[in-house]
Amino acid sequence: MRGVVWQAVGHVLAKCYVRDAPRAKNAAQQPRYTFDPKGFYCTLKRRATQVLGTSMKGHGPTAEMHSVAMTMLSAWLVCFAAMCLAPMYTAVVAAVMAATFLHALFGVGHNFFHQANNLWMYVFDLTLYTSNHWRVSHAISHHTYANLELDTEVSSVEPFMYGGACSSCAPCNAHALLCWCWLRTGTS
Amino acid sequence: MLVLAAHRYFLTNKPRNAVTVYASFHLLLIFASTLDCIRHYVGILTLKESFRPEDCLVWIEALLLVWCRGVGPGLGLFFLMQCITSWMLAALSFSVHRTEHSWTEGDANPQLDFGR
Repeated sequence: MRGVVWQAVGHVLAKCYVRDAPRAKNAAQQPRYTFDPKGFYCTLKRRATQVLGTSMKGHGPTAEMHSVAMTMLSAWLVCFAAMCLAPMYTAVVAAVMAATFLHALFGVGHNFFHQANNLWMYVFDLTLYTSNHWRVSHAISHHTYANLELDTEVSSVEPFMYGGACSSCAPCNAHALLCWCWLRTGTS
Repeated sequence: MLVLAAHRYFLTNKPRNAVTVYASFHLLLIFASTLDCIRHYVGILTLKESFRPEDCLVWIEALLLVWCRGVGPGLGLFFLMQCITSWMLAALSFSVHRTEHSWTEGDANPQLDFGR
């Protein structure tokens, strides 16, 4: 959003205007975004531009976040070095530990790829997923249509598994419940 | 496809998971990142995606392990790490992140709630 001159975009769009889109028959088919200056999309865009256009001090990652990310990366590097150099049995244990820290680094990369380009988002690429692809699929598909059919991260596993947020997706819900209990036990 | 219907539902108007999904779910999760990586390189080969500098990171990981351990054990350790991560991502993060249990009415403190 930063770097885009919305007024200039508006001028270009105005040149391409043909006519208003016909109204949909029901509310579900209404377009999600409209160009109504007082509508949700334009209001959000205007307010976000005001914030992003000013000082970003206090809006970026905290020192605590940086230190957590650095700790996870260091721990993963130590485990990875053990995978390369330690005796085989130790290397297998190190691989399991490295996987745990890599899981944490996936989370770090995920949080940072939602922001402007930065070096930390590339820790995501230490996994077999790619930050460049996820930045689009996750940010646009999942965060806009969380858990709906248009969320490709849920629908991509169909027909092998139905992962939508519904009472019939038993494996997901059973897992979630177990993980939730585990997290609550660990944090309380 | 219908032969497998006892184990899998292929019709989108039957969005229910079979009992076997409780087991096969984990197999899918273990190889999810590997499958996504294959999808990425198929995309590169078919010119739908591009090879980016950050894609070298996993190659460096794999090559370092192969260099230190040999091809078999090196790749074995590499995929052991990646597959466990893939399983953890899906079994822990994915599930908690997406189901109805993860949604709340917002923060109890109105000053911290979204939009304030």
